[in-house]
Amino acid sequence: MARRQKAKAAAAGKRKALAALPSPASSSEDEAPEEVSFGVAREAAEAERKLVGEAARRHRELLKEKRRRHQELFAEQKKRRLLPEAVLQELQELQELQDVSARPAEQAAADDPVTLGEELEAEAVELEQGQAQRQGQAEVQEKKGKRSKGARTKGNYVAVCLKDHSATGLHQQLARDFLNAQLYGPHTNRVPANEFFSLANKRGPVKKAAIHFVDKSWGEYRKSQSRYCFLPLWLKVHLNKSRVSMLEHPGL
Amino acid sequence: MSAGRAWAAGAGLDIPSAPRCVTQTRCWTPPVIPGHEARSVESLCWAAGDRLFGAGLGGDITEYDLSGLSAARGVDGGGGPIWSMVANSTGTQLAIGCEDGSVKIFQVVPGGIQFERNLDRRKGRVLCLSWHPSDTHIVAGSIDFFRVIDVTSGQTVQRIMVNYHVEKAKRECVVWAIALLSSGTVVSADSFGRVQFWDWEQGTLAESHTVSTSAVLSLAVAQEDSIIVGTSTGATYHLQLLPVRLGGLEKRWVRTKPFQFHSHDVRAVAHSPTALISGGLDAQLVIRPLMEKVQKKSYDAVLRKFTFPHRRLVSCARKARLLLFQFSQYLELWRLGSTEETGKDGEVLPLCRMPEHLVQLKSKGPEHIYSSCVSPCGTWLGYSTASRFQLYRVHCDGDGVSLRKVPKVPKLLPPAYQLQFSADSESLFVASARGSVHVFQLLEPGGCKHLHTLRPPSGCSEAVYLLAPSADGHWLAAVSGDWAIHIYNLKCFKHHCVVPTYDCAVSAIAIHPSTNNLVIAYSDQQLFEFSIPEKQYTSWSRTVQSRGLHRAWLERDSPITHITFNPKNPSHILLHDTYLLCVLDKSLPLPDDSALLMNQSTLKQLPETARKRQLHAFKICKKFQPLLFMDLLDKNCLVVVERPIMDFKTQLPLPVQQKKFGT
Repeated sequence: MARRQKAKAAAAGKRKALAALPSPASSSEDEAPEEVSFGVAREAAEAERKLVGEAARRHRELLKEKRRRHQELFAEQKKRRLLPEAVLQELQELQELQDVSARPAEQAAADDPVTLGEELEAEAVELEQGQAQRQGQAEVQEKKGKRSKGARTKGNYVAVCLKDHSATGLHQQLARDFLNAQLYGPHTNRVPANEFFSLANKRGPVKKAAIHFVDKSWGEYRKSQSRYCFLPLWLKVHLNKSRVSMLEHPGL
Repeated sequence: MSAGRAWAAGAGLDIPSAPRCVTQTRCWTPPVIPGHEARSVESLCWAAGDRLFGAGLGGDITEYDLSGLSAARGVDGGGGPIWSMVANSTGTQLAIGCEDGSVKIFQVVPGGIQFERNLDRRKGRVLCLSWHPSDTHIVAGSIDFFRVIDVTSGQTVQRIMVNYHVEKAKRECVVWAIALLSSGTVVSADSFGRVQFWDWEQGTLAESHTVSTSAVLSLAVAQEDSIIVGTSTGATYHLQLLPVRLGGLEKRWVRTKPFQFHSHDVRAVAHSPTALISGGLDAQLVIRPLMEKVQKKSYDAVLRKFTFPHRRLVSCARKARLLLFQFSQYLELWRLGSTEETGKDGEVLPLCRMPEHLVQLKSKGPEHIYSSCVSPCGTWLGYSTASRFQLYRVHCDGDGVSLRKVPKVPKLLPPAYQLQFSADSESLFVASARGSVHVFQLLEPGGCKHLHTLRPPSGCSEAVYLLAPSADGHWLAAVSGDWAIHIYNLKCFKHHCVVPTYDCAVSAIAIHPSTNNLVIAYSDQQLFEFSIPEKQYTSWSRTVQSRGLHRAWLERDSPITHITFNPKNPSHILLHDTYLLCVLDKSLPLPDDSALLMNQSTLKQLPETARKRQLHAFKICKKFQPLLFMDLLDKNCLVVVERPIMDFKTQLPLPVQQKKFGT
């Protein structure tokens, strides 16, 4: 009985709450919509549009600012990484000189002053004698291989191309992993070599001991324990001995 | 005979190319193509007659030059790692199955191969391929399914799920091997241990046989009614298409013969018309002739097992008592121990100086070492790979050993197939392509000069693979790939003569130090003795040929790999193969078939007079097996190198557990 009364009270409370809320669904169903004039509605819509437009414009300008700032920062950093202007100028002149005598196509890729900066930090940089450079240019052209390509005049170094990491190694590794997983994965019921070959020892006409490979971890615990067990025992025994002897000869 | 999938141990492989004469399996010393660390071979096939192609996880299709014994041309497949490659029935096209799920067709042209087109590509790596005998369709096996592709249109005409029937499919079903028969039946072998027969047009499963609890890795078909499959446990099974009732028309596939020849996975099988051939990860190649196909019950119908390579991997420096062991990526130099004591027959004497491992020399680069040699005085060491040849000077002073590379070694066209130092350690003979042998003179502080190149007069397309210099430095015998033995005079660098041809490969040669007789051992266990000064066979050799060798000698499994002589007794010839070593005494009578060949143990027990009656020329010792090398040092010392099988079997990849009753 008490339970039923409580439930009724709860339901009544809910209905009151519902009635207090301005339910938009019920209002649109029961009553006719509010009458608003055309002009007022138009102005409201325009105001809204203006606000949204201004917000978007502000947002765009903010982004532009950010981008501009970032560009300037990068330009700054780039300038810092490059060599001083004087050196670049000299190299440029010498580059033009070499262009005249050597093959232009191979130098084209190496001409870029930006990559020069990066190449300086590359791993394989060989030093070459500067004096031999001009004289040796003819020889350089005849020589095959990486030494002649991209040979920098002023001749402090030669940039060479190392072995490149292609994707084939990765593919091969994935293929091998698949093969290993399929043949030696957890479901394949593989057994270590000593168990397998011990079977022959046990089943042959002359029974022998099982093959068991020596494991360095055997007895590690016992070995470590013995260090701690032995010393207290020794002390105990020897201290007792000396005590006993003192008791027996009180004069000492 | 089509080769099944070839497996590469680690990533390098020494491929023994298929025997030149398939039916005569005893007449065979396989030529070896050296391996490469970066090249893993997953599949080999013959195309256009006798051109050998290989493809592997590196993504390249390589053609092998069989006369030059090297990898000739490589073409990138273009689809990532290549899992399988098969040639069509006419040998004009190659189909490859790649990691990205595509099947590509290449055309075999005289210069190499050319990409023709791509067939329909689906998701899932293509692990196995098979052409229809009429070349109209290709079946490609993948993970959980296989599909049949029509070659002319390039479209997939049928896709069949393999795992459909397994209720609780916890893991994926990998189709490891597949074959398409002319009747339209597809045979698939998968990782659940099943061999299934499908009708691809209807898309139905005709028969399913579970042959093993572990994966079935390889499959080969012969004559449409006989299949051999190899499993992960090392077992191979023979399935045959037999009539249900005698004389009836309805036929079914039945698993007829189980074999357990291997202890590790069997990843390559082949089926010739008369024999089943399987190759396992335990380094064994087993040929099992089928009894019903063999006409005559002779020695040819016996099971053959090949474990060790039939070439020389150990060199000995007699005077310096050093041994050089050739591994695939490094060489090891050992000094032998010595003892001061003497004892009786059968006793093991204690050593006063233990054998020492002096130096381990690693070869540069990913290629495997092809041949190596140490000079008799022990101060020169050389090895060759497919693209380089290195010579070193060895200095042993007291405890330390130092190796110095000899600079400016004359450039020869690589590879050097065999290296041999002369008996006085002053010249080096290098066996090269096209039957030529280069002679180098070794200069004292550490230099090398090219003296001469010896060539056979009539030209030769094959490479030289065996060399034997004489002890006095006068003669050199060279055996080339076409089995012709040429003898050269080293004093005037001229060709001296050719040994009469015999239609079998030569497995070992040596020149006697005092009589200059060339002793030749052939792969079919025949022995010949050819006198070089007289240019004809010796009378002893003629006697041996007319009497014939003992039946037990001719029925041996492995060929003779090394011949040497006893300086104290000129009538002794010492030979060894993988399972025995033999001292051949030419002064004693030859045994006939009724006598016991291995009679050393019985002779020991007989009294002196009876022994004299039963003594014959072959004194065989089978105590040391498996043998890699045997040589005679000075002072009554014989060095024998054994390689127990268990030593390397424990280092192989893990085998599958075999549950035996009572263990």
